Amino acid sequence: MAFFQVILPMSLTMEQQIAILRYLSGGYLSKNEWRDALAGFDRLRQAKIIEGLRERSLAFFYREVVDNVYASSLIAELLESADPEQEGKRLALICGERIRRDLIERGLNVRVTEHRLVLAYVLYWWMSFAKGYSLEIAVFLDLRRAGISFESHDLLNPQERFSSYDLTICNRLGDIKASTYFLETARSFPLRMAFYIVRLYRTRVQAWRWAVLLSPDFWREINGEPVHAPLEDALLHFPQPVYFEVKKTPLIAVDYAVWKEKVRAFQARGGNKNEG
Amino acid sequence: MKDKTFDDLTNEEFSEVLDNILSENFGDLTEEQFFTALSAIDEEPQEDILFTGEIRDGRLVLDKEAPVPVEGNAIYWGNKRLIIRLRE
Repeated sequence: MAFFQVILPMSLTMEQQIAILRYLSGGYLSKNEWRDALAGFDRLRQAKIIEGLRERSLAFFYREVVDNVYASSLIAELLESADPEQEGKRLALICGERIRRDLIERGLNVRVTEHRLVLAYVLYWWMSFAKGYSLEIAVFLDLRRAGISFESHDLLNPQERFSSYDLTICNRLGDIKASTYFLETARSFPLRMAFYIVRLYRTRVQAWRWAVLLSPDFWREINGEPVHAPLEDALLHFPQPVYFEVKKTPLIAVDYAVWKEKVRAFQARGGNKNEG
Repeated sequence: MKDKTFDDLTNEEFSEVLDNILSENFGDLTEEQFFTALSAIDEEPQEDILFTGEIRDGRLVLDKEAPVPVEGNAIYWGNKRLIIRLRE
């Protein structure tokens, strides 16, 4: 076992660490806590990992120790599955436990605070990754079954997996994101894609809802005008198509099934089918 | 866990946090949490992230000492790879 040391960035504040812990423990975060947690994860990625004589950022360490080892095989298994969302949950947990054991064998000590942050971050990012790709593959399957014309990137090709978009519908670029992944993307406004498919949990009825966040001009092309609302009131109108702005970027949020029906009707009327 | 830090946790409590991360529903955001997080992002100030590098044989080569992983002219950002190409 090599010498293992973690140096946290000085910019990672105690408030950010508390918010991260609260999020990872399943707590409900206030707006301020979200701000701290998201900024904290950004900073944590910059932590230095010293393993033997080698020094890497945590983000690079994750890439080499987790992504390069587990990502492609997970995706390959999901692509073979008839129910990628369920299979994704099962595989994410199996690999997650393996990663937890691997890291402790590498020298991470759960009694050391800095090591705890690294272990928690790596497992958090792995679970976000696995859920993100499970959803992506499930959406591809669903769109195919619905007869929607679209093009997607090849997930088994590592170059394409890192492409800046996941799919093209009606000649518009889109991304599919499990909600935590979307929040990472959403912090780099202005958003570049014409639409984002996300998955949200409805506490009241204890069920999932797939939703789409899209640019107003894409929505206008396939449907018409939405309800306009300030961001803090958007949830009052959702899942009806609702228009709001985030960092001055206009967005429409709408239920995935409604959006899919509108796309199918638009394409049936001869609307663009990705012919280029 | 409110207001606790990673340092405050006993080994058992930390193990529970890891068990929570490695659970079926971890990270599943409710609609309320999602829109709260979007509001937080909306109010966040813009943060600059600095990359440095040099031109070698006509190609941009970013310094390895960067806030996120870099490789030559590529920046790894989440599940994306941002590639910077210079025109001749």
